[in-house]
This record gives sequence, structure tokens and C-alpha cells, in this order.
Amino acid sequence: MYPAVPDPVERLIEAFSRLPGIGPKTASRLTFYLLRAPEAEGLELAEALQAMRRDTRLCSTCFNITSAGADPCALCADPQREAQLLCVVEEPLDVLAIERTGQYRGRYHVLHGVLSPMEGVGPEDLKLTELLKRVESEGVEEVILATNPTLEGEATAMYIKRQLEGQPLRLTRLARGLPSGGDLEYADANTLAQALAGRSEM
Amino acid sequence: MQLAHLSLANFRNFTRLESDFPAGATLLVGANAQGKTSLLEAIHYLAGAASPHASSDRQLINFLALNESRPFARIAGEVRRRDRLHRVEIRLILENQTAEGEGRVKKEVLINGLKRRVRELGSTFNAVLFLPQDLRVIEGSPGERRRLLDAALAQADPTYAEAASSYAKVLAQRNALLRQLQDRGGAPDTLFFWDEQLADLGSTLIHARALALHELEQLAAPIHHALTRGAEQLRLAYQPAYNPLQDPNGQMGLPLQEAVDWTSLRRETLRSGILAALERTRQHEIARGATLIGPHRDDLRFLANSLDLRQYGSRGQARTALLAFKLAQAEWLRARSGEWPVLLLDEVLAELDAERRDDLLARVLQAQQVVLTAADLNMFSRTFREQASVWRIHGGTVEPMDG
Ligand SMILES: Nc1ncnc2c1ncn2[C@@H]1O[C@H](COP(=O)(O)OP(=O)(O)O)[C@@H](O)[C@H]1O
Ligand SMILES: [Mg+2]
Ligand SMILES: [Zn+2]
Repeated sequence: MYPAVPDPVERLIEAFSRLPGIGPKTASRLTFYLLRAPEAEGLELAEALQAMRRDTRLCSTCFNITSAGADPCALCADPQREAQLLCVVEEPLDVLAIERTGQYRGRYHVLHGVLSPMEGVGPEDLKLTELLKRVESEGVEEVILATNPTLEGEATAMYIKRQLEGQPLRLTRLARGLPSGGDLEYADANTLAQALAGRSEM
Repeated sequence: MQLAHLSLANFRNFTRLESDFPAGATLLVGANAQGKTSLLEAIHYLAGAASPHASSDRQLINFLALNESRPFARIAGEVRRRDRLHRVEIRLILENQTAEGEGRVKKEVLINGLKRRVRELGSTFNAVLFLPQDLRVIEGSPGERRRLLDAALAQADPTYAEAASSYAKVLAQRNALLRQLQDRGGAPDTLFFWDEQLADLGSTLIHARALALHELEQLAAPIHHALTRGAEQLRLAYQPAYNPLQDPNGQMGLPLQEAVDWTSLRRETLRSGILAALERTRQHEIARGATLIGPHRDDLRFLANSLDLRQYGSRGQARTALLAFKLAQAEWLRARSGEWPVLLLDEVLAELDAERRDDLLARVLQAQQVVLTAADLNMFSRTFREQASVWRIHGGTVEPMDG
């Protein structure tokens, strides 16, 4: 029997379907789109992918993504950022989210994941030893644990807390509560319960 | 509360249904395989998006609709609750269907037009469904009885549903970790967090279950007494797998007869008890690669005159006990929310003698709305028929019947 599509096409479909959020249908659609698109469009995509791999690194200090020529990254190298304040996040995208607030003047540490035994992710798979080293050597006074409020995020925060026990540090966790602009009536019971438990003096 | 209107699309054998429902009693009469059970199942589905009857949500989508490009089913209701109308809608959409008929059912819940989580359904609509064939609950594994109790609690209390689903996640993570420690060894210090969570959520579940079961027993016993004409005394005994009252080196579990007042236990006592027990069984759990302590192993027993119905009950006895439980659940929900849930009783009269039928019918008429099914209208006394709306159900369509 002949294969339904030539090998290179099959290969690209498979490569697309390995991406998160892309199923086999979308993968085929993207592949056939590129097959018909002007040659330059496909080449531009290929070139962009290669450049992204070639020209980016993880910052050896905070493990956020940085360009190949800049290690430590711009954020770590910025003398205006407070070295005493360290915010620990799961992913590079979280750094982006916090930076967008324009409210944070400290530095970051990216773990690249959370503890999840089911997915085989243990402490040794995260940038944890590196975190402990930084805390000891950089004069950090406050560590903000900004992992997600999921079970795995909480597990990771708790693990870090235990590892940092006994250090002369302030350990904080992001507050949980109601989204702003939201209506009390429409908040789900759990969010409301947490907001109530975490209410503050006014 | 009252289900004022039901609208179905592609639910089981109902390709389309639009029907108002009156308050009070409605009798659905029809021959076998016309859709009586399915209609009750649809109404009940609005209260928690779960079917005690189907093993997967896929079964609920109409067979013929499965041939369409994007198969779906829609169950929507208008609920009158304290004179306010609420719209509840559930959509089941079959995604990525393969030639082998596999695929995932996506569930969407809308309350008053807004997307909501499944566990929030119980705050808008409550229903209690009795299916006579569903005796697995009494005769089957402990898991069936846990589901019965959990479903009752989840409808009454969204925070219980939340805790139960978190507990399941914690358990899966903790078991994975225990298997890794079993395979590769290593320091068990990463268990710390999962132990805390297991104890925290576990004690919440045990505490809520013990209390609910105690309240349900108080309500079910007199109902059962009446249903058996005083011949039997029903007890609902909570059997937690982990006994927080045991002495540290004592045995697990308790003899059935020993009366333990679980409701007097404080959650904090349970929590620290679970933590201490996890500590003691650490090596054993690692060797087994599984969590051995916690409410995921609980059981509850239905006892009639001190006999465990799981082992010694006849089918008739099991059926009566289940019916008493369901009627008690309705009263219990009413006591908690101030409103009767909608009662859904499938072929409930079949095995009762005339006197008990009258008893039962008088009892269910207390509820604001009850839907009963029967193959034969003559099961119901003339007086009852006169108080009820009688509908004929035929091949997935429903119409009023005269007389
Ligand atoms: N997903 C489905 N699509 C179409 N028909 C179904 C589906 N599931 C069940 N049925 C059929 O619907 C009919 C009604 O079943 P049921 O509600 O149990 O009837 P009754 O309670 O009146 O005896 C049966 O013939 C059954 O095979
Ligand atoms: Mg039936
Ligand atoms: Zn950096």
C-alpha cells in the first residue's frame, strides 16, 4: 500500500501535533496551509524557529529566557532592581505577567515547573538548589512565593518554605481572592470563601 | 422548588422535548422502553451533571445524533425557587470522535446564561432520584456507597464537592510519589506536603460524612419503619477505614455493633489523628506504593434489625432501604436549604402492597413537586390519580392523558 501523504508532510503533521493545544486535525490544517502558502512564508517560520533556538539561553542567575549575548539577563543586570527582594515563579510567562503590573521592583527566580509526582517531576527537576544558593549569596531579605494557587503550586511553595526554614528571611505568598471588576454575586463559592478568609483591615 | 419547564435535545431517546411541568405530582405512564427512566434521569442531571445510571456521559447522547459531525445533547430547565426563575442548562459535546466511536465528552454548564462549574449546579437545583434497579448501592462494593453519600453531600454543599475533588487529586499525587519511593527509594521528605493535604481534606470529608450520615439516619429510620409496617429498624452505620479513636498500637476498624458517635469528633482531632497514623504507616505505605489511610477507603452499612443488608438482605429489603434513604435525603435537603428538592421516583410502587402504596404516596405528596413513573396507571389509587397530572409517554414524546 502507498502512504496517504508523502513522508515530509507526515513528519510536519506529527511535529505540529506534539505542540500543546494542537490536535491532529489542527496539525493537518496547518501543514496543508503551509504546503499551499508562498514558499517564503514557510521558510520564514523555519528560520524564526531556528533563530529562537540558536539565539536564546536561560539566564544563569534567574533562569528566565534571555538572548544568547546577554547572560545574566537584562533584569538581573539592572542595578535598579532590588536584590533583597526575590520573586519565585513557575514559568517565564509568569515573569511577564508580573512585569506587566509595573509594580514590582525586585528580581525573579524561574523554577521551570512545579512538583508533580504524577508527571514524574521531583525537586531535582526544578531550579531549586540554584534558588537556595542565590538566597544565601545574594543578600535576599524577602522571598515571594508566586507559584500558582493549584495543589502542585502549593506543594512546591510548601517544599521551598521547608528548605528555607531557619534562614533570616521574610517568606511571603501572593494573596488569593476576587478578580477586580468582578461581581460578588458571580464569584464561585470557593474563590469567595478564600477572599473572606484572607480579608484585610481597611 | 419546582422544575417549571424542561427542554431536551438529543438526550437518550428524546430527540426533542419541550414540556412544562406542574407543581405537585406528575404520573408518567408508558410501556417499557418508552423513555420513562430517561426522563427522570434528564431532570436529575440538572442537579449535578451526573447519572447514577450511565457509565459514561457519552451514553446520554442520542444514538442517531452520534452520526452528526459534532454530536451533542442539551438538557435545559427553568427552575422556580422562592418565586424566582432560574435557567439551568447543560450541554454535552462529543469532541474528536474517531471511527471507532471514541472521543471525549465536553460538558458545559450555564446558570442564568453564565458559564459555571459543575459543582455549582446544586446551589440552583436539587433533585433526588430513586431507581429501583440501582441496588448496586446496597449490594455492591464500598465505592458505590461512598458515591451515594458523596453525591448527596455534593448537592447540598458546594464546598464539600470542592474538597472531594481536591482530595482525589491529592490522593493521585501522593500515590504516585509513594510508588516512586517504592521503586527508587529516597528521602520521604517530599511526602510532607501531601500528608498535610491528605489530613486536611480527609478530615473535612470524614467529618462531613459522619455528620450527614447521622442526620440521614435520623430521618430514614422512621420512614423505613413505616415502609416496613414496623417490622424493621434501619441503621446507617459509618465505617471509616481509618479509625481515629483507636489506640496507637491497636487494630484498625471497629466491630459493627459498637456505637461510636462520630459526630462528636472534632475535625482537628481527626486531622491530627490522620497525620499521626500516616507517620506510623509510612514504611508500610512505601512498601505497598499506595495510600492506606483516609476516606477513600470508607464504607457505610445499611443495617436492618442489625443485619448487614449487603450480605444478608433480600432484594426487597435492599430496595426498601434504598427508598427510605432517598426519601430521607429529600427531607434532609429541605432542612438544609429550606426547599424541597424535586422527587423523582421510578417504578416505585411495583413491589409494594396496597396499604404501603398509600403510605408512600401520602408521604411524597408533601414535597412541592414529585414525578413518578409506572407501566400501569392502575397501580395508583383513584384518589391519587385525581390529585396528580397524568401523562402518557411514548417513544420519547410526552402528552397529557385524560381520565
Ligand atoms: N443514547 C440513546 N439514544 C437513543 N436511544 C436510547 C439511548 N439510550 C437509551 N435509549 C433507548 O431509549 C429507550 C427508553 O429507555 P428507558 O428510559 O429506560 O425506558 P422506560 O423507562 O420507559 O422503560 C430504550 O429503548 C433505550 O434503548
Ligand atoms: Mg424504566
Ligand atoms: Zn536573569
